[in-house]
Amino acid sequence: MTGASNRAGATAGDALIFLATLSLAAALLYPAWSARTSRDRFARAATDVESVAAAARSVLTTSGAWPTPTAPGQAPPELGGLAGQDQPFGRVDYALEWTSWSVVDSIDAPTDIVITPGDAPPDSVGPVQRPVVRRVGAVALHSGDPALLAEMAERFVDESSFVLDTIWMLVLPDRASTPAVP
Amino acid sequence: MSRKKKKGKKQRAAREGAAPASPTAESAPTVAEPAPRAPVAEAREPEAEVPPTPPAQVTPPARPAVEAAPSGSTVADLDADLDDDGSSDYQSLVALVANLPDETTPTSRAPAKASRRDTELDEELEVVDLDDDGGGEAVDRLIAKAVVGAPPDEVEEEPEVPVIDLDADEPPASRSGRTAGPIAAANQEAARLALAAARGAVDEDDVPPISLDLGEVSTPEARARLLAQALAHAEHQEARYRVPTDTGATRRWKGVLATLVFVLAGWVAVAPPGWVVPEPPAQMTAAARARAIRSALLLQAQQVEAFRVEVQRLPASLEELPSRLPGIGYARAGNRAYQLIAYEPSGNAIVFDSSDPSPPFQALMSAWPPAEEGP
Repeated sequence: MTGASNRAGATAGDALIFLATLSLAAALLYPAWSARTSRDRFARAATDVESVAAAARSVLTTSGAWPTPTAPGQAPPELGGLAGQDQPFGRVDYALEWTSWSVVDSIDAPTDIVITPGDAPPDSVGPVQRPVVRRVGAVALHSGDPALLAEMAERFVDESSFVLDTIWMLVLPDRASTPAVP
Repeated sequence: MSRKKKKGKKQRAAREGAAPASPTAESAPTVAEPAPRAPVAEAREPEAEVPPTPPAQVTPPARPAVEAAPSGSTVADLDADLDDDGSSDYQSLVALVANLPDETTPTSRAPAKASRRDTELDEELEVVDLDDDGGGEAVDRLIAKAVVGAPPDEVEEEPEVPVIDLDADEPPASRSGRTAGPIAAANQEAARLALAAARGAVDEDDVPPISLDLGEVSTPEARARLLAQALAHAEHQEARYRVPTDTGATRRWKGVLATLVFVLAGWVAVAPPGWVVPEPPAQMTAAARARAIRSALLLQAQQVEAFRVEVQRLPASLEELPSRLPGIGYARAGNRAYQLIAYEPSGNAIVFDSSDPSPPFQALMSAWPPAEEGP
């Protein structure tokens, strides 16, 4: 009866071996599991940024202006359609923010030069540069994960983006100076 | 007592007069015609009108018949022994039947051979000849005739009537082994008849009532099932409190194995080898981070220039701007120039001077602000 009991139950040695094997398996599998979850998170963040940028461009095309800037995690009223779609502005590990920035361009301005006799010829007078302010849109991603910020900078390296502190920002080119009239 | 038994005894009592008839007929063994039997029966008619008596009282009338037949009247002797329940038993009856051939053969075989064409005589010969049927059926008919006193054909209709009384005297087991030959055959037949009587002759009304409580009656299958359940429960209870133990050698190698696996797990967790760690996520280089800071400073400078274009002055602080980036310092030098300062993670300061941007800023300004998209 005692032998049968020994064969039927688990001893302390069996429990130790089981725990050790479980620890080894966790040590082996955790890095791969963590990397996989990180990749999934990065991909989802990139998808959210692209969807917001596409929606903002659509608003700019239709209305001639960028959506209204909002606080982080809140969708602009013009992008209300995105608010209910899987909540791209408010995630657990990051928050999106729609922002708008001013950009100054210099354009050639017509000059009213009065030429009097004895003055230099008009060709020697250079064009006058006139500053023009226009608005650009930007999608900001707020996150405390440097890996996510770095991943976003690498994914959008060909566009105007940068990382400052805990923000990654993608600046979208615009045509605000010559807005399209619907 | 079953109905059949009562009925048989009643019939026996009604045929009381027939029993002495056989000895009477046997007393004239040479009779070849059945005619002589009719007068005898008619002569017995008055006796048959006597009121029926219980089976135990049937014997007294048979006694005179035995006495009337002085010798060789074996049927009368059988009748007398069978009716004498107190003195004779089955063994004595069997012994008497076994002795029948010796006593009857000389007197019965001669008339049997002489009158084979007569059926009535065949009945007489059939009763006394035990050798023809091997003893079994002959003894049966003989017993039936001796007890009932009726012809064999009537006995065959109710063969169980006389057998019940025989079996009641002594169990068949006690009879076996003490007889041989025809006696053994008779015993076997008697046992068979006893069993048949026990099965069929017993009336349902005679069966004593049995109090059947179905809740208390259990079948062997039910008892086996209950026993199995009890054993399984006991085993389960024992297993709950069972503490497995290892022997010394087993405990030793299990401890060594567990230690090795723990050490391996700790090594993988603390300093994982290259084949364990997957590709690390992207990390920003220092150059990329500096470039990002310069881009941020350039975007913030655009906000200041836009403010100056709109307001025709420099902002006193960045708080006056509608949009600002965190981590950027602002310093105004007079009313025409300003500086924006940001710091790298290493602590190095990156300064944007509006009056003289550094070459890195000049390289970025060619691509900044973002170019307009074509229509």
